Amino acid sequence: MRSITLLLLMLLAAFFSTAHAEKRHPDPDGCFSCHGLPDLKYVDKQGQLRSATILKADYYGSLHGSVPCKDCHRKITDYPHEEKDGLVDCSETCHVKEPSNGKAFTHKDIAKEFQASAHGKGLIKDFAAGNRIKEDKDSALPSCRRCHANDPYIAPSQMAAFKEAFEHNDAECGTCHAGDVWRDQFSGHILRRYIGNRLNKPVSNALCIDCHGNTERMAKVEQEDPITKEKETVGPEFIYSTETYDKTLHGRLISDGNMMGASCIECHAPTGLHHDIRRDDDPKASVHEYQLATTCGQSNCHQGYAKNAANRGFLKTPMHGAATVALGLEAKLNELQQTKSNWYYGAIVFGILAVIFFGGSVFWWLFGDRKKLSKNNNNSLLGADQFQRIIIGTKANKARVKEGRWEVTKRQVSGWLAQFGRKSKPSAANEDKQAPTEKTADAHTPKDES
Amino acid sequence: MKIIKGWYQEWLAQPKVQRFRYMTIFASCVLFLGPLTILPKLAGNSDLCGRLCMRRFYLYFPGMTVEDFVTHASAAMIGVIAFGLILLTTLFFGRIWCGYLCPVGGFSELVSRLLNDRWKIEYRWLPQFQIRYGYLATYMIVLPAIGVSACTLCNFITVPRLVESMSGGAGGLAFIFSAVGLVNLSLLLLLGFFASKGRAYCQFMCPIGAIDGIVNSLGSRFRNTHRIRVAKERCTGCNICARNCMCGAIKMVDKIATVQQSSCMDCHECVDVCDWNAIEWTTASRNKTPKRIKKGVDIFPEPDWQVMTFTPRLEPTIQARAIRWGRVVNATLLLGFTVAVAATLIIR
Ligand code: SF4
Ligand code: SF4
Ligand code: SF4
Repeated sequence: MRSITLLLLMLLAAFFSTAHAEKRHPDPDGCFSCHGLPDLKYVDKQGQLRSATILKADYYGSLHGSVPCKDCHRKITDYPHEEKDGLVDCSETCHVKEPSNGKAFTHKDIAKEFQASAHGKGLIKDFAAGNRIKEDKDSALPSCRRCHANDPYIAPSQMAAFKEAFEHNDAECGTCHAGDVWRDQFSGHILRRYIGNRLNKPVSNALCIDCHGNTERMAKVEQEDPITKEKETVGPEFIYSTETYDKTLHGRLISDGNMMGASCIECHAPTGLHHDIRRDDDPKASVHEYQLATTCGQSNCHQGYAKNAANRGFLKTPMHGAATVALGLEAKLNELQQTKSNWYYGAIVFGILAVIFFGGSVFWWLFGDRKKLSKNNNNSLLGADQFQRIIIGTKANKARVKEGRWEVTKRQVSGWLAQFGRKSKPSAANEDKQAPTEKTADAHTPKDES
Repeated sequence: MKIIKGWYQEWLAQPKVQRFRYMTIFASCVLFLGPLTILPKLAGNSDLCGRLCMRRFYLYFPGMTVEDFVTHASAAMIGVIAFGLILLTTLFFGRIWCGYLCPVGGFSELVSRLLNDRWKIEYRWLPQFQIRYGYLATYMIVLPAIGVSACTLCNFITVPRLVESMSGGAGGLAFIFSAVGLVNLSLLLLLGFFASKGRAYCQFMCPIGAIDGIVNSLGSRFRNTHRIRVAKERCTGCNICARNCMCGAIKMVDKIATVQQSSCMDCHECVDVCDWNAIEWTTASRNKTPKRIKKGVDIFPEPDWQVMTFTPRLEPTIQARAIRWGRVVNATLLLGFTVAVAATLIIR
């Protein structure tokens, strides 16, 4: 990790050589004069010893490496400063200019979308950095940085691809854009986009699973009803959402490394800025039953048929159906198995089956009534007579076979149906056969059967 | 000791081809199932689902386009290739996969054969063809449209998990005790372990087997494909083949064995038990020297191998009891199928 960051730094150093050095905003407010010290520590209000050292390499290599500290940490005016003054509001603007319109860059749109979503309800620390330990322990709802931890600008997995693309910057891009100032400024950014999404499906799923995979924590979640605003406890579909997702083809394909599966946000926040995750009974939610046809029918998904009216049932296929998991059992068993191999858990359960099978077979073999067995007869518990009659073609022994209730009913129904079909020409002979009393049927079957 | 000796004698009493067949099934169980899962692991899988699934890509959703089909197929590419290979071998040699290799159908057959016959339920007399293709239509058309996942009644998910859980695997055990797992387990018990010869699930519910059966049946019309064929003039009607056929594919029609090709798995057992050399896994065109003649035993006449399927006996007149319940089942299922297709076309 560290070496990759260093690599990145070297790369950036090469990129912003001399002429562009000022683009990195090298600490205009002098924050690094203290925070650059290697062992800057303080004790916070909870009595926790915490590090206040900012590693320059990590910071400049991060997504916000070109944003000066004070753009975000606005309340700090002099030093030393209070811990609480370090609060950050991610929906503020910063001094980085959006190149397309020249306006100051802001996350306001995402913040708005996020605040309206299920995660944005209540306080999300006003998009501020508070006590991270407190947030991890106590907060049910994530703040921005719970998922966006100011990661390296180039994801480690994409470093090789980025380097290769970057080597072509001067030769290939430069053929047309020779002398364009913005090329020097933005080619890194453009090439980063060019090599693909920073978060691929497994990585973005991992962000969700980080919280939602913790069933104990999820069981404590209280949701707010979108209409009545009442607090409600959550059901097993919510608590075991990641376990059940793994069982669907969606989750299955992704964990197999096949990107055809749908990731969490592809269904739960497919549009906009991908932060609008809502409860499924919220009419604005992409997974609300009225929206499902659109969501499932996205291009490259079930596009051809999800919107077809005959497929309403398809949209009801349970995607987090608790029927596919033995609630929490797998996690518990896995936990047990981490300490020692518990092969005998399986053996206990299926040993019982084995005892039934083998014990029973030995029982039949030793004590079964052999006289009743014959090589020519089918010895099955059920259906042996039918097999003999239908497949082998032997006539059932009429004297022995007693007509049961089911046969009588079946014959009567058949009789009525046949009568209904030939109302015009009933004959005396048929009349006799069609409506025998139950008594005669029990005693002996009609003669014309054979 | 006596018991073990008895088992060994019983094993030796099995026909040679059948012993070979049991061993191939056992080997494929080791290769495909359980804690080892050697072959699936080559494809990066831990079971027969996901990319290996052979039961999902041909599901039909109303309004589906060709691109959708391509998407579905490419998500399960290995399964598609495997399925193609199975159908190809079936076309030329009969259902070798089902009879000799499939670890899923094979596992329940082996377990069922270990059990005493008096435990079992006989399903082979049921109208197989009707139930099988009725269910195939339901599975492919109706279940997707009403939103029942194909995995709900699938033994390709159950058997690997069951075998895995016997070694204490947490995932397998957890699946077996989920609601879907318990339904599947009872299906496996009722249509597998406690079914006579253990192949009832294959006969009624397996979509792979059903499609394979169609290919088997169509291929049998060519003269140079290997199929179980009967020499009509030699068959004595002793019916030992029909009693031994694990699929219920042989029915005695007018005291002559007839093979329903869509049900037969080419397991060769009927050939092994026929004392009259009247049934054989062979091509129809070449008039091969019968094996008995090779052994120095003459049997005449020379067989004229023919493929026969069940033909309904003609009834002279409609009688009160002549309602064929198999056909009622068939008609109901076909009607449902037609209505589903019609609904697809009308409602858009
Ligand atoms: S019918 Fe299906 S389950 Fe049975 S052997 Fe064939 S593929 Fe396997
Ligand atoms: S075992 Fe041979 S002779 Fe006997 S019924 Fe079958 S085919 Fe005919
Ligand atoms: S007809 Fe013969 S080969 Fe086919 S399934 Fe029955 S016993 Fe096996």
